[in-house]
Amino acid sequence: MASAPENEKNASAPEKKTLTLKSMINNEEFVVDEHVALQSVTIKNMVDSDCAGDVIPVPTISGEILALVIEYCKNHANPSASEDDLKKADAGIVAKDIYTLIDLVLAANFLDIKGLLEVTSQKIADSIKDLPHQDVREIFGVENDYTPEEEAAVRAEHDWAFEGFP
Amino acid sequence: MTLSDNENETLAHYLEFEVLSEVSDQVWIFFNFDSYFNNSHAHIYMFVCMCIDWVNFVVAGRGGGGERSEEAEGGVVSNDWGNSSDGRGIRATPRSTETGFFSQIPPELFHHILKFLSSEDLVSCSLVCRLLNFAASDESLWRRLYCMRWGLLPPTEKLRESAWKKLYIQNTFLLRRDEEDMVEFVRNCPSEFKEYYIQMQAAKRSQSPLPSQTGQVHVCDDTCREAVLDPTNELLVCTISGHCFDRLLSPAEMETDTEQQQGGVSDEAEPFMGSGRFAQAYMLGYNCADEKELQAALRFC
Repeated sequence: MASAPENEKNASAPEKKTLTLKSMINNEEFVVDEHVALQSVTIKNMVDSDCAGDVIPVPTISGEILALVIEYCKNHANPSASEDDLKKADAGIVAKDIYTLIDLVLAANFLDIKGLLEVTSQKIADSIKDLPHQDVREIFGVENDYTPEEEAAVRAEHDWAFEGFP
Repeated sequence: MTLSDNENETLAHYLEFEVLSEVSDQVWIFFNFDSYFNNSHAHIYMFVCMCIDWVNFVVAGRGGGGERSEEAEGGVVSNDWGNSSDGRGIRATPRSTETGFFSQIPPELFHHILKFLSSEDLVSCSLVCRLLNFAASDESLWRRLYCMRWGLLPPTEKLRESAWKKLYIQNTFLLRRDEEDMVEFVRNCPSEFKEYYIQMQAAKRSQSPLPSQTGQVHVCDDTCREAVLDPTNELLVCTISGHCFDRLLSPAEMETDTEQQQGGVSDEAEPFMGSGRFAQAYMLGYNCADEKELQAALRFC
């Protein structure tokens, strides 16, 4: 999908416009049908206000992530896709490691694609659901930045209601 | 009867907020259940489940008798991601530069992710680091969890203004104290049922929002928690969809019903005799959304 040939564009209906999205991280370009790209509210606003040139630069999103986003948009732009198919396709798109998911959720947020934002957020939430805080730290690779006193205070704030329950 | 007096006291603790008069009559019915069923452990257990579910139900329904317009305006679960800026910051402002990986994530994204989590998960997140504590203390998250678990709104204006997280924790605590009293109250209840019962409450604490409850869509079906009692015609009306639910049974009607069922139970062959019977009672009791379902479930126990 990285390079839709020019003749393919001409072969289809002449009104069918395409847009080129370019990842500013690794300069990868994606040619997509306009109606696919317009699922992104950000891009739609750009197009509507005539700010979009031939090539729309997409900052902070890598080609790898952009490909996933476009895959999602293509699936959801297909009017004949059943709800079940879409669900399956979405599950396939978000079946990634946590770092990819974070990049994806950032991309969905930047491009303002509500559906993608939801499924990705849900997936991230699922990955930390029911886990103790030590495991959450490990998953996200974050350091404990509490001082022992602070940690005890945060603990105390919650413990009396949630722990020690028989 | 003394049982009901005791129990009313217990409830008064839990419902410290407001008038009890309208509740006490209705709750009393369940104490009569106890005397009907006192030969069967399963029934005693069911009775405890029902009390809690009923209390939740009543509180949800009471959330706002008489103040509907206000609730319809601002009290609904949906539609309100915008208010996260006020009331935040229960403690600790984030030092995002120190949390590396998270620093690239804008705060509104945390909200999108955390809205899928239960109160226990949020508490767990709070312990991870400062930034996540800040994000997981977001008032709108706790407000939604509060509404999910206890119905629409806390009953008084004063409570409504307080921090939702604090309110949630407070209520959990009150409920827990209440549960302990209740378990104490059903002294004959053997320990294995106590265990089921405790598990059931723990399950409620760790309940996280369903996808249908997280977005801006309100699904108005039998499990609708947005319904409030319209005092003029005693109908339960959903504040979002306007859907009307069946009228609540009056205490007199319910008593008749119970007696009929009592007769029915002894006549019928018991469908869950033998292994799995208690599990069935547990499942039935727990899954009941309202008093109607409970009554239906009773037929099978």
